[in-house]
Amino acid sequence: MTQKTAVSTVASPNLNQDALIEIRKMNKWYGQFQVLKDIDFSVYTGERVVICGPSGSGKSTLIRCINRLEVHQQGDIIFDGIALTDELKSIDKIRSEIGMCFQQFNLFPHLSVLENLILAPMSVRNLSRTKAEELGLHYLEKVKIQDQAGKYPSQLSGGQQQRVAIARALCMQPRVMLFDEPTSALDPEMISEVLDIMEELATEGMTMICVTHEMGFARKVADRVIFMDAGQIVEENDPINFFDNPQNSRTQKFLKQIFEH
Amino acid sequence: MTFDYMAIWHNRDILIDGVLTTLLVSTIAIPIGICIGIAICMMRISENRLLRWSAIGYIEVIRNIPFLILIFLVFYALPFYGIRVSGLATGFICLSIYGGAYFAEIFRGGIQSVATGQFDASKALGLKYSFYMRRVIFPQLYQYIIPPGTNIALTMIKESSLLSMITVAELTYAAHDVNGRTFTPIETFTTIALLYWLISTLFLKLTHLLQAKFGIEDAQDGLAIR
Repeated sequence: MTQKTAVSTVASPNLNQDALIEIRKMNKWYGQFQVLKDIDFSVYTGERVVICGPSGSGKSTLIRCINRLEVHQQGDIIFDGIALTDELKSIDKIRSEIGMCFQQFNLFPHLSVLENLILAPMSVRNLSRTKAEELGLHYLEKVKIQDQAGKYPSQLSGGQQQRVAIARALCMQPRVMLFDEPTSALDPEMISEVLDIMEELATEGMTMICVTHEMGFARKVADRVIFMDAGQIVEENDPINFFDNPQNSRTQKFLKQIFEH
Repeated sequence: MTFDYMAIWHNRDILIDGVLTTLLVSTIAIPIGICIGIAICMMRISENRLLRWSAIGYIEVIRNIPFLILIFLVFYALPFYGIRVSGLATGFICLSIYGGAYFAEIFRGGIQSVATGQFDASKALGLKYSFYMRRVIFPQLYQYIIPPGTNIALTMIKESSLLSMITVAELTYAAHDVNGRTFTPIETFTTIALLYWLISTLFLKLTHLLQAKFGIEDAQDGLAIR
């Protein structure tokens, strides 16, 4: 019943080392409803993985399980050798190694842009204010928004807010960045400014897992594209084979719908 | 029908003392009630089942019995267990406990109104619970809790009049006192209605200042609490 028709995983950059993130036979339910089924999924350092699929396929839930914003009931999720379980005392420490960007940006509205960025480095990494501000300004420059440091989130456009959100996550210098549909809430003209930043991050070697509908981005940047449907990983492949030669009929149907839009 | 102002004026000391006592009880009980409310609210939303059920029990009991019965229980019933509390102390304790239950629910409503995305972002950054509640969530609560909070505080000021039933010499008790001496119920009770109205209005003016500080999302002010 849970037949996974996964295609062979493509050669990842660093197959010799252990996976940074390993998910084995992971299952998750919301009450009676099973939202994730037998997920087997690994991500190696330096890999860029894109996850796509229709609404309700569980892709957001999957990445939210990685930093335990959602809790799985069965199976293993292992980050850097540490299993995520209920007994885990240091989930905050693990979360500080995983950066996340959300569809709704989720900037702190009562703090300025720079204050948004320095909050976590000061509290979690115990940086002094000066050092934290230096770090914050460095990443604001990276996302090309340094002149907005004193502004408040409500004064920025959606694209600017998302870039601040990316900078905020980067200030913690995480091992991996999770993106949960980062451009889905943006007006079309602002999507490319965010995707450009994400591309740059990818070229610099940041490990990324990105849930997105932006197939152009996937083609350009991803090492691996995964298609999910109804809580299962249906197909995964390198971008060229994924887009040009989808094996599974559900993948084919989905891609047809996307590209006919 | 003549209004005997002089009767009131001659006894103004009693009434003034009453006003001061009402203000004393209120200005102490309201902040304590807020502190109790914060504590109970944190228990109410805790993952610990014992804390959560204790908080729910507290809130349900206090909210569902009349304030008068609460003060009777403390003032008249506790002495049978050897605990003798003065009228004024009963006033402080009961009014704080009473307000605390309502404030707890207001804070909980406020926390639930803050977008879940704020919690997501805080957790995702690796911030500790106590830290992000204080620095991210609480500063965003004001707009949700100030309006209902001021209502509860105002209710507490008015409910303090019931303390007259346990010999606390606040404003209502003072009115009965003056009336007993002068037999002028119309003048007396009209005057204290006016005095309560004055106290409430001044209190509301204060809260308008508070709302002006927090209620309007003024980006330049910044709501960060250091």
